[in-house]
Amino acid sequence: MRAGGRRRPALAGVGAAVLAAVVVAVALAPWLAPFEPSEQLVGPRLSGPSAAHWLGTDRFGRDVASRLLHGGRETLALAGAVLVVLVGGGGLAGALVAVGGRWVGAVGQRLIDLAVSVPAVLVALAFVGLRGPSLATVIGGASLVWWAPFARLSCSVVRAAMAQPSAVAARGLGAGRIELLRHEGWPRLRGPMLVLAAVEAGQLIAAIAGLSFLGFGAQPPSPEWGAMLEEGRAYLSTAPHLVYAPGSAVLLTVLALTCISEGLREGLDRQAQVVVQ
Amino acid sequence: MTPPSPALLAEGLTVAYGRTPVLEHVDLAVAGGEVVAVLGESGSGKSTLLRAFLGLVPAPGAVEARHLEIRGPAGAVDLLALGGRGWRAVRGALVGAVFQDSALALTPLRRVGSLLVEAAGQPLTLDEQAERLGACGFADPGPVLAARCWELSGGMAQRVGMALATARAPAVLVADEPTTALDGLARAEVVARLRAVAANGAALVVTTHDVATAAALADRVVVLDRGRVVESGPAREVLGSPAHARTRRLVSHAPWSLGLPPPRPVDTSGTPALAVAGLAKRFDRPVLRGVDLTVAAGEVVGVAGVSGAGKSTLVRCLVGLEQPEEGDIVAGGVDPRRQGWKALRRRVQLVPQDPRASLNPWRTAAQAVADPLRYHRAGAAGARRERAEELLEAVGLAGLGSRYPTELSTGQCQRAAIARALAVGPALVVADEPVSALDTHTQAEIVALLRQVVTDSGTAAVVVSHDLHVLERLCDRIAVLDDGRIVSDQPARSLRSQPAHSLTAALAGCYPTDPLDTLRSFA
Repeated sequence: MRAGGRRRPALAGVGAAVLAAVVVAVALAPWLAPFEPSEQLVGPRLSGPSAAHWLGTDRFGRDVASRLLHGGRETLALAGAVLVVLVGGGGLAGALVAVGGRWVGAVGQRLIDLAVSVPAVLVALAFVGLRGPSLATVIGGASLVWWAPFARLSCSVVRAAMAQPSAVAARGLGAGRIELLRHEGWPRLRGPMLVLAAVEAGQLIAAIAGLSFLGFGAQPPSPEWGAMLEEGRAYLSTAPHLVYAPGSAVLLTVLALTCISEGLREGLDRQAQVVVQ
Repeated sequence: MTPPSPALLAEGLTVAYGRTPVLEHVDLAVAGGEVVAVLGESGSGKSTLLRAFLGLVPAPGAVEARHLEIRGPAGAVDLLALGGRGWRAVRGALVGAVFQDSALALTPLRRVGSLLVEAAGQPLTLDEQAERLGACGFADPGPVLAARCWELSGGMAQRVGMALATARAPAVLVADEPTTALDGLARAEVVARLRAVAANGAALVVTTHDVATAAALADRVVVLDRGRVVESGPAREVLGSPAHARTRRLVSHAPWSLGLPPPRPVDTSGTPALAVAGLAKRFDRPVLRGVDLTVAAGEVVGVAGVSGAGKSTLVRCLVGLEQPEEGDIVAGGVDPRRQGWKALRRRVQLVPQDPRASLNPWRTAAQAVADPLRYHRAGAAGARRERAEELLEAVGLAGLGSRYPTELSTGQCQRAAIARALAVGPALVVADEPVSALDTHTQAEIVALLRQVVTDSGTAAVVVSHDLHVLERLCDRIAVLDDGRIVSDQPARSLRSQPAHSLTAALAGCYPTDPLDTLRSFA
């Protein structure tokens, strides 16, 4: 991508740098973290930030910084993996609906509409009701409908791409559906898809943390960020660092992803203008 | 007695975007009742010139001039001194504008009648509205007043655009390529209407890249090249005996200036390249109503017709993009009903209308040319690359295979599209308006190239175009399509001498053998 602009692409750069820092820190948690995340009484209970415990300790005397680093592993790895599946599955489904025949198109479009209209959190909660709270249940339930935004975007972009003169010409020359998707659909789809993935990634992380905070996702003693928030909630007045630390981690990650998606969108718009000219 | 002062006066007009001048020191004076054609290729600054007269040069363009004024009934108005409010008072009242494609330039949401009332700036009764449209050549204005612009044909929309632009009888009318998007019959009508506007006393400035339109329309011609006036004078002198090299190129490279090709022997005994019988296709109305067309192996057949006759639908049916409701298409011995449409596409290949838009911007010229071979699983990757190089060389693009469409000129894009259509060695090439998107001198090149490659490869071709000059120079036979039916089908040579149908004769009249002949009728 051409980095021709000033403000937004710079913002995207900052976002990418922050996200990269978070990912690296979390990935290297076993080496970076000074203590085991679940080891109790490594220091005094509920102590504030200090030299020995940068982010203080919780009610069991566990090191908050270590828990934060380890907990992020769970949240980010899970969000990343789920996102890959959703983008891939949703994107492919939408593209197939777009190039499918009249029946596939009509039925597929309605299915996508249906999935878009159901809030993912609601489905996740319904699953928790059936199978009891756990991170896997929450994620599995949300994934049942969370593919839909990707499918809808992919469907509309690919459908528009198929109406482009170059796609019509390729069809007239004998191109099959696979070739049309590869050469005419994919180059037009990849940019918007990346933007949407960045937007949805932020929401996914917020949703995982949010459901864990409500007690439906990761369960104690997991150091998942949302679960940490929930544990710290009771000490908001006496030990606010227990809420601020995981809260800031969620905020920083989601904000970084928002910056990235904004910058990407701007950059793609400019690129589209160049192509049109 | 002093000569009447001009209705439009520009002296030393310069328009620049930053340090890049688009127009440099252009002098132009147009008297009331006079038509001036501004002739030039794309990028010569024609449109910018008209925008300067309308106060529509987009930021950051800067307009400078010694004089830039329009003389209306209330005296001269200095255009350079106008601000936003001043321009709004001038546009429509003193200077009207007609755009290249009125069907797109006018708002799609409102009906013609309400646009007309707005343009007139005063309430009009239905009778008055009908009268104004009638003056623009509409025999039955009622349905047109109730229509929205995109529902009209190109020629009708253009005449509506003229009715709107002249609603307040401006002293100056500017028109940007008003006939480019039109077929011959509609073009003749619009040209006649523009002359009528001038006859009523308005000063007309019309840009065009088409020498024939300039010849039919203009009293005076100004030739623009890269923002400078290179030649100007009475139409007869400038076009009849062009002095500047650029004008000569425009005049002598027009399609009609190429000689007619010698007749070729066509062997009609073998399997025909294309046999179409009783082809019918309807969308919301019947578009094709029983088309019969046979093309012998190696034969080149032209399909002419006005817009809306069904030409594009015929093309889409021939290459399998639409499936007809009735009738048979057999191409190169392949019947899609029995062998499938994919097999048909292997035998029929397409040269699309807009060469730039119809090439994938992410594929190089060589990849694009090799693509049909991939689609039809013909040869290994290495062999396909070799074949693409060979074809690119044959169409004059040797060494340009690694370029993307954005790095090629429009003419080069069309060469690549022709090479692509020949890649699988089809029995038939279908070319849809293959030169209409090109500058005049490029048109002649592409016509010559097409003629040469079909002759060399022995491929049969169907060329669809509204431009009879192009068809005459490409085709052995020309069929005329009207309202979904072939009304005449005859050798190209006898089209003018013995037209088989009145429409054929009318079309031939719109594309005179030498369009510069018409200059004499205005002399």
